[in-house]
Amino acid sequence: MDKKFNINRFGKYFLYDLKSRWSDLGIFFLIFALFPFILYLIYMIFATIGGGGLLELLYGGSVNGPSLPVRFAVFAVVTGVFVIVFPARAYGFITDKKAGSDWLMLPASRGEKFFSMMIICLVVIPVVYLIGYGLSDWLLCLLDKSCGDSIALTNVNRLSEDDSFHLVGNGIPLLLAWMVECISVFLLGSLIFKKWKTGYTIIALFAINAVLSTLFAFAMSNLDFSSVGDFIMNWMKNNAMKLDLHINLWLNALLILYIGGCGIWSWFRLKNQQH
Amino acid sequence: MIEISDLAFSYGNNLVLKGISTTLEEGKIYGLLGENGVGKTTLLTLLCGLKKVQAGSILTDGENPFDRSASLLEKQYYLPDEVAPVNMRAGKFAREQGAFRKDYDHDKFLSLMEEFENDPSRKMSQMSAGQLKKTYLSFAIACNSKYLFLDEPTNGLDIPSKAQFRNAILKYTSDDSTIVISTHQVRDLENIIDPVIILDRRDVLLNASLQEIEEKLFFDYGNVLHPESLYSEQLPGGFIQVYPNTEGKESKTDIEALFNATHAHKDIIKGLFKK
Repeated sequence: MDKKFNINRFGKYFLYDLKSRWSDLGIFFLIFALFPFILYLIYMIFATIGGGGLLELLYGGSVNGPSLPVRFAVFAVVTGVFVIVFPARAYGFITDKKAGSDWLMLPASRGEKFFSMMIICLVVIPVVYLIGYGLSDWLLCLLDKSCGDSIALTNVNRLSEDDSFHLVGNGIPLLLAWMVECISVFLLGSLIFKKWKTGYTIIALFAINAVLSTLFAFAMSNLDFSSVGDFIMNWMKNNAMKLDLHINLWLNALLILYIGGCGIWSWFRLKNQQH
Repeated sequence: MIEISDLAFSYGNNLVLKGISTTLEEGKIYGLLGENGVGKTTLLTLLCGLKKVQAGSILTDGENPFDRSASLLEKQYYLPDEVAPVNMRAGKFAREQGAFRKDYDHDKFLSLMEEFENDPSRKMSQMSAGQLKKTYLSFAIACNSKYLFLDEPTNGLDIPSKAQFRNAILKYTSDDSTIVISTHQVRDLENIIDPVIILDRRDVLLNASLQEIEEKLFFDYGNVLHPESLYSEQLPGGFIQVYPNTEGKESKTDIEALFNATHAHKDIIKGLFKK
């Protein structure tokens, strides 16, 4: 085991990996984490020039910064782009002949390299990104009160008019789970495809979804709907008290299966990587 | 020791190596020669574990290099023909990568950089191809690896650097290291490689020390043509001719002439050196 996974060497490799990723991704990461300020600048320029804000300023008024719903929407889009794009930028070099050979020949075991990659991609980067983005947004709201509450301090459950729906932990665990799920898939894509890693991963996902949808439709066409409906209704009646628990269990199991599947595939991809 | 038995490798339908069997012993600097496309780089990448053997086996100290165990990776260093221009200062790069190798000597790296007239404080991404190659060569030698695989190390080096490289190999590598140098530029390495391996598409045509070569072949630099020559080439003021050394005369190996003689008379040379 010591031959395959040495904790001291892993620690040394993990720090090296972290430093290398920061050196490769630092600016890219900062652009995303500081996006609230970029948004603010763009928003204010457009609000001043196009939205009649200039006249407002000339008459002694003020221009309001981007509101909470606007910043929430932008946060969702920016985070979506971030989780799709960064895995290829962080570890896509592994399929490159020059940089990938160097990486494969670095004296650390496959297990150490794999776990370091997974921890950095699935834990360190999403958490640091969320903290960075949250802090930038909070600082922005502190500097310009017209922006309203910061995203990090807003209770997301109050934004919805539907009281029956409640997000645990202010939605952060759900957001992290979704980020980890996306990152797993796009990390796998960046290890499979040699070029256009993000684009090909998106195309592959579309293709897989199309095939699965066709298969599902085909399966459904051969099913007796009334018996399936009865089965579901009976199950719901029998488990009415624990419905939330069951649904959560299924969703979590599916999530773990999905992330685990991508992780296992990534492991074998690294194990068999050749240059 | 590296033992290669009945090795085969192909790219799709293009068979590159077949039935290669040989042994690489400790303390020797092997010159790996062969025509273009004969599989020299492929053999080096198989030896260091960047490619998986398709048939036959390679055992380095009893281990399969494709397992890429940390212990074996620590014992070897592979320098490809084309190297990655890392966005890092050369000294920092060497120190960080060297931290994974217990025998790495940073002072030796700095001495080598000085001998190559290269600046360790310069970013590698800003270096010329030759300077970058010299940085990697300095690092490769400073690793003090038991197995050093160099693919076309003199490509991109200017004339003084080629001499510096020869000196560095002789001065700084350990006596028990096994060094395999693949090259087309035989003149650049003429005085340092011993034994010589000449690779053919399907075979190892020759794996012999210079002493064995000079016992069995005579390199005639005279100006009289011998009809029994396996190879002859006109030089200013005479010829270089290669023929079987039936009289036990002493001569100095001309590797280029040896290579040409071997390719012109594969069976005769194989017969002469059969063990």
